[in-house]
Amino acid sequence: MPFCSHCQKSLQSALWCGACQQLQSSGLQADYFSVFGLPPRYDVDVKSLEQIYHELAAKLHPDFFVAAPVAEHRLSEGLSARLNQAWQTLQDSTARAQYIMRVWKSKTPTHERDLPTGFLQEMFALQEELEELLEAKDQQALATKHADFLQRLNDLQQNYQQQLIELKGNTPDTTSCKQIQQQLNAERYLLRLLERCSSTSSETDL
Amino acid sequence: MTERIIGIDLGTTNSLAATVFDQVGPEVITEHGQTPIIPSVLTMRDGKWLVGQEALIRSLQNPTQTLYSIKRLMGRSLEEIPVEEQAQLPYQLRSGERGQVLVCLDEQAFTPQEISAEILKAVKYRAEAILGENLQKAVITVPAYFDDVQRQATRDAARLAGLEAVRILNEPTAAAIAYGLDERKDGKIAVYDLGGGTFDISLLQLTGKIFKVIATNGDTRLGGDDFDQAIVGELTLRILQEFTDAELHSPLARQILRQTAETIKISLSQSNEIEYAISIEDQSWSHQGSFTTIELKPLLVPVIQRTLQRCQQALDQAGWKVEGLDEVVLVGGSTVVPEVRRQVQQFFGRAPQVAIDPYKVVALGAGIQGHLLAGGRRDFLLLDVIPLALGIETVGGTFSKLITANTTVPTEAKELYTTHVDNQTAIEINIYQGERELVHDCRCLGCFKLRGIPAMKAGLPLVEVTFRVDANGILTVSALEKRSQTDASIEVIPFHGLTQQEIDDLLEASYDHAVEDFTARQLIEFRQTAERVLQGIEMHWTIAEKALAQTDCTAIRQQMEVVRQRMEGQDPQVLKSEMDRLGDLTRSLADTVMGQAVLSALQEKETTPV
Repeated sequence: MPFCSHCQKSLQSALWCGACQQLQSSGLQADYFSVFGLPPRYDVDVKSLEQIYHELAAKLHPDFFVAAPVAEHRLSEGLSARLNQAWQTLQDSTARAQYIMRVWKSKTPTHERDLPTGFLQEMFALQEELEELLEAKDQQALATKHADFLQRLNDLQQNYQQQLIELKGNTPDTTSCKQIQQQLNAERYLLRLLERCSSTSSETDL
Repeated sequence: MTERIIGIDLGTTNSLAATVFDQVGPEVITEHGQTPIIPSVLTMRDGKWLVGQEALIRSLQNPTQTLYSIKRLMGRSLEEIPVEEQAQLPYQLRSGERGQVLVCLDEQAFTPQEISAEILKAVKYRAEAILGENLQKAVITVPAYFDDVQRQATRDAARLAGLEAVRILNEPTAAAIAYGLDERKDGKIAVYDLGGGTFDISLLQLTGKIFKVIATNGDTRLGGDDFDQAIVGELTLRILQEFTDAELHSPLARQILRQTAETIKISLSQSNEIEYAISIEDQSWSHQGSFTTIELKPLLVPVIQRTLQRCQQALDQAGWKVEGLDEVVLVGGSTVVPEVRRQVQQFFGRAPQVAIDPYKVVALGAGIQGHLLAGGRRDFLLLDVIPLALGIETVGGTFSKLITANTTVPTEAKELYTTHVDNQTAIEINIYQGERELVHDCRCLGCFKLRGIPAMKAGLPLVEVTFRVDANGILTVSALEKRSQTDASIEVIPFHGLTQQEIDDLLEASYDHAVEDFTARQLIEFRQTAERVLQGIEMHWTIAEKALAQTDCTAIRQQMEVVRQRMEGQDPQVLKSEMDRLGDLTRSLADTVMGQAVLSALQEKETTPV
């Protein structure tokens, strides 16, 4: 944990000192976990994360620094932006996984575009199928496809989430790092297919 | 508490102000028994602006010179306003230098910012007169779905009115504050806000002291005006059926039809049928008819359906279901229409909350937020969102989103840029706001030119551009060249808004003939009144000499001299108290002998608004 730049006491949150109530300018670059005073672990209790988020927001928000000197007002704005981004990222299971992999990336070889073996060919086939169904406006078959994609997505997510949790905050070895990153990349494809599926079905609703 | 920050609801049809009074709490700012509302209607007389009720009264004598619904033009370019909509307006529009819309009046052209500034001035001056203090800061509300350009335009209008917009606050959020602080219940709230010209739906989560906007959606060109237009369309059909050669496109005809439509709409909120008659000066025909709620319904439903589609989109964005809502709140003058309430109730499956006057609730919320910003309270916090994604143009005209819609503000995004040519020292970035895939379908906010990049080989410079969105939902951009750690300078060319130079020029021009300071305005006003009173007494002096005792006459004469001296002074309050003394001395005179002339001169002193 870092220390307060004013009173030197150790900080709960990297953004703000609970002891002397001072904004921490070093917090502008803080990683999202230390924003909440948490170790970089995938398993996060979102309910208590939200509570910390609200408490910090009520301390940092620029609305409470209207009469403060311009520099302090700007700092509160910057720290609030950091806090909002940190919350938005860590409260979402997918965004959190992507973020934690980025934190680890500096320590391990990257696999930014890697996909599981055979995944891309499978996706191309699925995409083609989907386009045909869309063309034919076959609502029933589309609904089945949608359910199928959702099932795949769920399996994928459960799998990598389990792997991430088992790491207990330790940096993964090269093999599991590659595996997790591949699944996260695959997830993007699936999400895009799902979006294509539902965007077109809602258009026909209107 | 430091300097007071009032809340102003700058509406399409009506504007008003509110503040938090010691002991009393949040209240709209108004004089006893008078309406707090100033119609957002303007005209000019002898080169001076008339705002509000006075302008509204003149609108029929002067249809081409009466401005209303100006909010619909804020931050727009002429080509963005559909031709049909332009045709409905009795006043003329034209295009400004950078394509921004200008409104023609009295052979002059004004930006919507300048015109809105006149409305804000009227609100400010009245609030100052009632509160008896100088006001320089305000929270000004805008539709949640206003984009960056429209928000900037509102803030510029405030500057031109001599007000600092400490916060640009979303209208539905303001309403939620007014309701939420009243009830203090945790839960999920939907705010349905249908005003004169805009529609917003905002979904909020209340947790303890935190008001968090989860999703917002809307249409900045959908409102009660559209109900009126639909009724005008029906009236036009009826008249043309009866009199095929009726000329209904003149500004006067349009104004009369519009006002008749509004009357029909309002009357049918209370009864099931209304009789109306329409005739237009210079035209030989006259048309009479009746309108029922059954005939009205099909005209309203398409407009209401459009609002409900937006509601569904917001729910989808939030990942919420209608059944999960704890409260639905109605805001905006157009929600008093019974059909709106019925449809909203049907859609949300629950009776909407209307405990606070829908005309006042937004101003009240803004007043409460102003109180918080002024340091008056810290017991709640508002976390609002950006309504539309912000991004940049990438290859092939694709819109690359840097900040997505419904992101909590303040927020920021960083993007790295480099050069394509050796020794290139400038980069141009076009910034857009919207929800579509192609920049062509989004709003261009402006062109940002990065200059001062150190000369290097192509691809070597790394310019980190930071896009910041503040708590008002307004964007600022800064840039840093990472290799040399130098700030690249940024020149912003707004596509629709005013440049800094234009604002400065307008401000300078307005200083020449406008008195911004409350005390100075009060002094001028009191001097004019004193002049009238003194003239009144002089005119009737022969009667006074006969009717009053010599001592009374002398006392009046002496007091008149004192008032004359104070008129030369600089303190309005001193002048006022001497005039009050003069009033006391001449009261019996006015009552008994002098009759109406002096009496009215004296009464005028009491009622002339400052």
